[in-house]
Amino acid sequence: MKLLLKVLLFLLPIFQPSISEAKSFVFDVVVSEIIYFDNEVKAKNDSTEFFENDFGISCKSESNLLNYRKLAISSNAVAAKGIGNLKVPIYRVYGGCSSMYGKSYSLINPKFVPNYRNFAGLPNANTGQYLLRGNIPLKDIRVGRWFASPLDGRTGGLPLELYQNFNQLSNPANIILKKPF
Amino acid sequence: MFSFKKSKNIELTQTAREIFLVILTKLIQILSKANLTDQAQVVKTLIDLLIQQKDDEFVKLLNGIDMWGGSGAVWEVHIGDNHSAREFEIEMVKLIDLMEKTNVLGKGIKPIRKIFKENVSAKE
Repeated sequence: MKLLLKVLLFLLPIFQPSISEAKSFVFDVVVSEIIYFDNEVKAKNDSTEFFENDFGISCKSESNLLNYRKLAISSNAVAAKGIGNLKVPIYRVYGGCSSMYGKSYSLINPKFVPNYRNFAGLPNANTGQYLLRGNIPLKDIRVGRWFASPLDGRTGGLPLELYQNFNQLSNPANIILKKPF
Repeated sequence: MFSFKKSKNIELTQTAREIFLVILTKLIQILSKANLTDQAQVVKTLIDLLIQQKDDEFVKLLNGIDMWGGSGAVWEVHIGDNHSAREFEIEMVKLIDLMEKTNVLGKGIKPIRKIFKENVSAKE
């Protein structure tokens, strides 16, 4: 989210001299507000909205000047598109009955989670000998479950269990673990 | 003398058992065809429990980690053949629907049904 805000805040000031008033909303919260007032130009009380839905982010632009409406829209479109194409690493612990091509992934690096098997709810048949790491654009991320389920005495609760295809990954790399999960 | 823990005996109707059997048999066929022997074994164990009418054990395994856990569970397998993959998703949706109908659906399974439903409708 911080990165998202940074991109928006970086892009919008570029248009500052041209836009009399522009606001950017992400998840209905104003993240950037630029107000430039020119006495010679009268406001026409026009406004518009733009929604970039492929990553589920709604970027709404408002401009009170008809002539600069498109500028406000395009700035947000660029920002939203750029964010959607950002690649983030995802991880899959596998081995034994669990193949590398399965569809359950995690956004969280298992190396940083003590007792990962318990929190991720790995079946016993998964030997946890391998760690697959790949990158995926943010727009392609598909959350299967918000939290891993507590099953058969496992704690579960690991946030953001993803449902992805192996062929969506770019630069997949396998790591053989000295100490399996 | 006192029993603080509520023990609830689960008993499935004969009709429910038969429908479970049909769905699970279909699943085992798809998994075996895709050479997913470990996951097929989990489903086979479910069928055995169902035939032996061990409903408590059946429901426990049906809601268990081997079916709905993380990587290596039955629900998240990759099936290369598109037709089989679609059939698998349809059968999994049917299974979850039946679990809900028979009041044996555990936690954290409904989101999986949503994914499978989306996949099935996308492939249509």
